[in-house]
Amino acid sequence: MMPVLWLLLYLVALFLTGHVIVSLIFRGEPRSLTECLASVAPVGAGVLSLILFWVSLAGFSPGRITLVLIVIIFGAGQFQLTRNHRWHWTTTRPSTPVSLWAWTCAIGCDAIIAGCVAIVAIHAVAQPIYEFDAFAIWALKAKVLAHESLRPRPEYFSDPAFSFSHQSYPLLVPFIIAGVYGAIGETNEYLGKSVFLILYLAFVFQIFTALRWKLNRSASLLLTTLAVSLPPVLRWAGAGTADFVLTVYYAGAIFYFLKWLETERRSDLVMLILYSGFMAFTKNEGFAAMLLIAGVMLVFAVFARSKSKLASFGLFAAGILLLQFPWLWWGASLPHTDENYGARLRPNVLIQNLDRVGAILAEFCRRTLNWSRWSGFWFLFPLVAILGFAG
Amino acid sequence: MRKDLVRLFLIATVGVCLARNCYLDFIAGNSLGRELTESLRDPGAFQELKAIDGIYSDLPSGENALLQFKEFDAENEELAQEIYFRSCYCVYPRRIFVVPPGKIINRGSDILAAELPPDPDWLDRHRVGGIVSFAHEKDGRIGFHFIKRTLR
Repeated sequence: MMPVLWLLLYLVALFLTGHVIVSLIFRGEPRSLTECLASVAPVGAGVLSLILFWVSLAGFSPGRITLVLIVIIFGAGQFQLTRNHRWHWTTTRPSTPVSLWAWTCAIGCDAIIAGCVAIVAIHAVAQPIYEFDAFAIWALKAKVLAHESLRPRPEYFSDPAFSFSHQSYPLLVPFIIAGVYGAIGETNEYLGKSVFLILYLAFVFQIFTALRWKLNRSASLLLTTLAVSLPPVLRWAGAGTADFVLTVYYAGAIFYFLKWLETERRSDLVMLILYSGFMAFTKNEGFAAMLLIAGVMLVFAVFARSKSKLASFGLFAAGILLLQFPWLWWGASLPHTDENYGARLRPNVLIQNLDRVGAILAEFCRRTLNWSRWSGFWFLFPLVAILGFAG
Repeated sequence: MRKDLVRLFLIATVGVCLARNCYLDFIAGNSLGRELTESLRDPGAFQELKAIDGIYSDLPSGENALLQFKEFDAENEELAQEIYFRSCYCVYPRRIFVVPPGKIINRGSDILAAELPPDPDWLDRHRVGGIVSFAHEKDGRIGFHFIKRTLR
């Protein structure tokens, strides 16, 4: 029973951190309650993970004292916000009577989403960590970080016998799990994965919020259900790997990037910076995606010949650098003895392996065209593209 | 009229796609929903991982283990890899020694390529309190033996 109570302390820290930061970013702007539900947990998890990383760099592994301090600091911030009536999450009521179709759609979609949540819940909380990457890479790192602080550097990060666990991978997900271990005072992989369930719920609201921006309620709900019930999403959401967490941050970064392009609001830019920073701290692929967003942002700013967009790009770059600097500095000397794809992207290596491209492409096409493995989304995608093109 | 038809067609398509997702999530033989239901019912689920974790239950805290694979060939690389990775995860912060210090381990072949001979002094210096040997049994299956050591 006690570990569950300590887990609650961790979750309070996560939600408080997320809510205070998101409230400060959206200060004075009316935002929907679904946007609040979509952003509080991912931002909270990201910020909490960064704080635990900085504290670990200072010589303290994740523990109850750190979490209690976080709750006190952000609790005081929340108290201040509540006192100033900064509760700006809005809910809208339909202006016209809800049709039978809308009710049927809502009930059907909610039932499917509930089924998906149940699957992720069982996968995350009632199953051990059994996926190969989950225990060999992410959960092992979480154990290391829960056991030792990053100063002095744990032997794990330089021992070649642990090369298989990709010692140079970013640490957001391991710190999310290590935070739970630190709170409950033991290694419990069931409770450690509970955060993934919360992130999945946030993902549901995230997709709905993004779609609701442009579509009506029923269409948004239908497409949200389609997205969150995709088999790969369900398969990996509660597995304990970093792929789903990366998806959550990537989706958030894309949404706020598009919003910023349209509205140029500072709050959307700050959310974009946060999501991109967390993305880069989750996986190396996230770092590449962040660079991609930065590149597209720069192209838009240059082609629009907009000074404000260029200034926003500067702010984006500065923000990312600020968030990433401790990790880049600390991680610079980590061994790259595993796959290390980045180092292999050299012209001579590419030319040397050019003869393999044919076989790779053939296999890629064979698998892509195997429609029996297609999930619902891929049937819809070409159709919507044709309709969009036609009309 | 045309707009309504397009709308109806789109809704029907989304419905079909959703049904497809639901089939792949809950009903198909290899769906996650089915896998989870079966694993919750089956007391033997994750038996292999539990067996690996169970090997080290007698290893005292603060003591490490030496892992050996006897007569393993290329066919068993994946198994050796899984056993070593899981063992490392299971016993941390204690250590699993499988190859001489300084050797890089990324996959099963790295493990099988370099054997660590059990020299008693070395084992004592590295606080190795148990030796786990995986080998082919007479019936062809792979089994293991755990030998407890007393540290000097």
